[in-house]
Amino acid sequence: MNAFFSIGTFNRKLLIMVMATSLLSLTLVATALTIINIKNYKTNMQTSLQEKARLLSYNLVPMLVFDDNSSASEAMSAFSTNPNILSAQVFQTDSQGSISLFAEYQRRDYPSPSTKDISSYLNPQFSERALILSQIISFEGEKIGYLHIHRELSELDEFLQQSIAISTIVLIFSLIIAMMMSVRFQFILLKPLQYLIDVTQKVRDEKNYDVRARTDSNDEFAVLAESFNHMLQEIAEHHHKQLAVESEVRQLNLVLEDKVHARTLELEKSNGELVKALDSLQDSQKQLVEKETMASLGQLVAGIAHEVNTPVGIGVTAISHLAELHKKLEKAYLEKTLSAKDMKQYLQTSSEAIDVMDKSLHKAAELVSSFKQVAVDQSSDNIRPVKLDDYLQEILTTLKPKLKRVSHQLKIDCCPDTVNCNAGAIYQIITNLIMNSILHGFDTNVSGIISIKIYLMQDHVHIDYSDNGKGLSPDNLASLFEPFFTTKRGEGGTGLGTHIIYNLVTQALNGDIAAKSKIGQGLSYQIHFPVVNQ
Amino acid sequence: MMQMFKGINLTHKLISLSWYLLCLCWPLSAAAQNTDATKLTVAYLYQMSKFTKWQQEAFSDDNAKLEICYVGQQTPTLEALLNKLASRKSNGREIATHHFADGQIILKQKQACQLIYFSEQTWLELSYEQQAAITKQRLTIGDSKAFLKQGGMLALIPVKSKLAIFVNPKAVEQSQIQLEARLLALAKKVTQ
Ligand SMILES: Nc1ncnc2c1ncn2[C@@H]1O[C@H](COP(=O)(O)OP(=O)(O)O)[C@@H](O)[C@H]1O
Ligand SMILES: [Mg+2]
Repeated sequence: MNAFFSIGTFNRKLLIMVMATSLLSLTLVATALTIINIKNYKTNMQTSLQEKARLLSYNLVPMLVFDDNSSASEAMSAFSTNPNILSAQVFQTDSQGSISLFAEYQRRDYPSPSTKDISSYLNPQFSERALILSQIISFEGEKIGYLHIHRELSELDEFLQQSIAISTIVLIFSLIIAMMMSVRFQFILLKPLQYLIDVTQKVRDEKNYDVRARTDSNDEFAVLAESFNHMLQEIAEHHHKQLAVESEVRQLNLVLEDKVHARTLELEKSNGELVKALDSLQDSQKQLVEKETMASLGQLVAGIAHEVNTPVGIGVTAISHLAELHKKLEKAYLEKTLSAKDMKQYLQTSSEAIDVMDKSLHKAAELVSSFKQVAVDQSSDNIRPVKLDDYLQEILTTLKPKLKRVSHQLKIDCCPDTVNCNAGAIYQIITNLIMNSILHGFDTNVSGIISIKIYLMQDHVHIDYSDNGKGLSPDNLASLFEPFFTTKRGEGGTGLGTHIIYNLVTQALNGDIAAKSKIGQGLSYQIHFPVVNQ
Repeated sequence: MMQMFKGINLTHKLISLSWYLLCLCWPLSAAAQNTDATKLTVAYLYQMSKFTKWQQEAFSDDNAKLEICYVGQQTPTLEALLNKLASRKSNGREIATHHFADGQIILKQKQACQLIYFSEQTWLELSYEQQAAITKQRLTIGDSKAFLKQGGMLALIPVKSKLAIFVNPKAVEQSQIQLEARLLALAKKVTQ
């Protein structure tokens, strides 16, 4: 059913084409025939009228010659039996050539025609209603009159209608026959095509590429079927190949899946291990960071101890001296050997000792208070107003013990402004930077230059730090801020110092840090961070 | 050709004229009326010759003239008319005209007289045998129905204002003369 529809349109096209061609040619033939028939009919009409006129003229000759118009009228009245003749008139010409009516006949319903221009109808002419003819009546070569006839044309109309009707009937019959024949021929013609369509349908529905179309129709369809079969052959081969490839691929896929599964398991396992390792690493990182913090705290404590040591020592010396003097005085008093001179000396010496002690203890108290400040700042994130130059001096003071051991030159350029910031972070940053310069930048017995420049710009504190030490290779510079990156592993290096600096600048201070270095040309840092508004 | 034309012209003129005269002058002048009737008669005789075919034997040879003979009273008008007619041609033959007082002379003189007009009683004066002899090869034309009843072929008889042609079909049939059908068609039949 479906297959029938699929060529249905082709069928219809063919049918329409055949019908259109038939219709066109038949119409052309019918029209041509009708035109020819009408023309013939007209010619016949003309010739028959001319004949009639000639005959009548011949008979009218004696009537004109013998001036017998009653006979002429009688002859004319014979036309009353012929309904086609509308009017007939006989004219007599006289010697002057003027024309006068001699006899006439007229059909009742036809108006008397005008007698003018009779001579212009010597060739029959078709007017609207009539075929008009003038016939010269001559006798012995002499023109003696005219016969002027009007013949009815309604017959022509009837003939035309009849021809059209007949043509139409013939046309319809021919078309019906053409249609029947074309339907029959279509069936015969399209049978091989239908068969081919069935085959393609079968191939499509069943995916069976081994069916073949019949090639025995002995026409173009056979050629088509042959090509189609050839194509099917190729498709079948292709299909088989594809199937083989597909099964191979499927096999491979299975193997691959197994492999992937195994790999995935392995990966999951190693991933777990890695996660564990990462956890432990993170743990050790935490420990190391703590250790580093503890180390800098240790340095602080050492600094504090060293600084406080001197005045306290002086105080201890003075007080032990005073204690000795006191014992001597006490002994002399008990032995009652105390002289005024001794007393006076004691008082003098003790007052000196007290003075020294006072000064030393004050100094110690001063130091402690300043260290306390630093220590507190270091362990907390407190933000407080900081007078930059003083604070830098304080930091350097805590580092004096380290700096004393080396002979580096410090170049300080610090603005005297007071800004709100995390002082502890700054302390730790500066300390780390200087310690790194001392530790990594210079070999022992080398005196280098360390310069620190601090200035305010656009509500930002800028710290430009540099040393003129050994510097870093580009690779090392790239990993400078990475935690645990150190070139002194096993020699006390943890690789966390710069990492802490980085964290402090970016997190505690909300700022930025960049490092520049070339081997042999030292290392410099550009740090800036915003001033905290109150 | 020109002569022919003139003939018709003349006929026409005569017709018109006779019409005119008949209308106006009938009571005034019978003579004048006769003159015109004669003219018309002569003209008709000439025209009739054109519609008539004679046997070969009626002429002595191919160049022989067609003789038109008038039997009856001689008048100067008739003389002139006949003379004038003699200069014409009919069906290719030259015409000769003769006048006779009576019909017997024709037989006696063995005149050809292929066309003879018998006026008034001239035909009736002939014997039956004489009439038969004349009729055989000749076209006989008279001026009354009596003429036809006595074996004459054609007659030119005035009807109303015109000359009407009458025929005795039997006489025409019996003679060896052939008259064109179209002429006979307009001739009124008179039976013997
Ligand atoms: N001023 C400097 N001059 C040259 N090298 C430096 C300097 N500061 C740091 N480094 C290099 O950067 C590395 C990392 O420093 P740091 O993070 O403080 O770790 P550590 O000091 O424990 O080695 C150091 O091992 C050193 O190689
Ligand atoms: Mg370090």
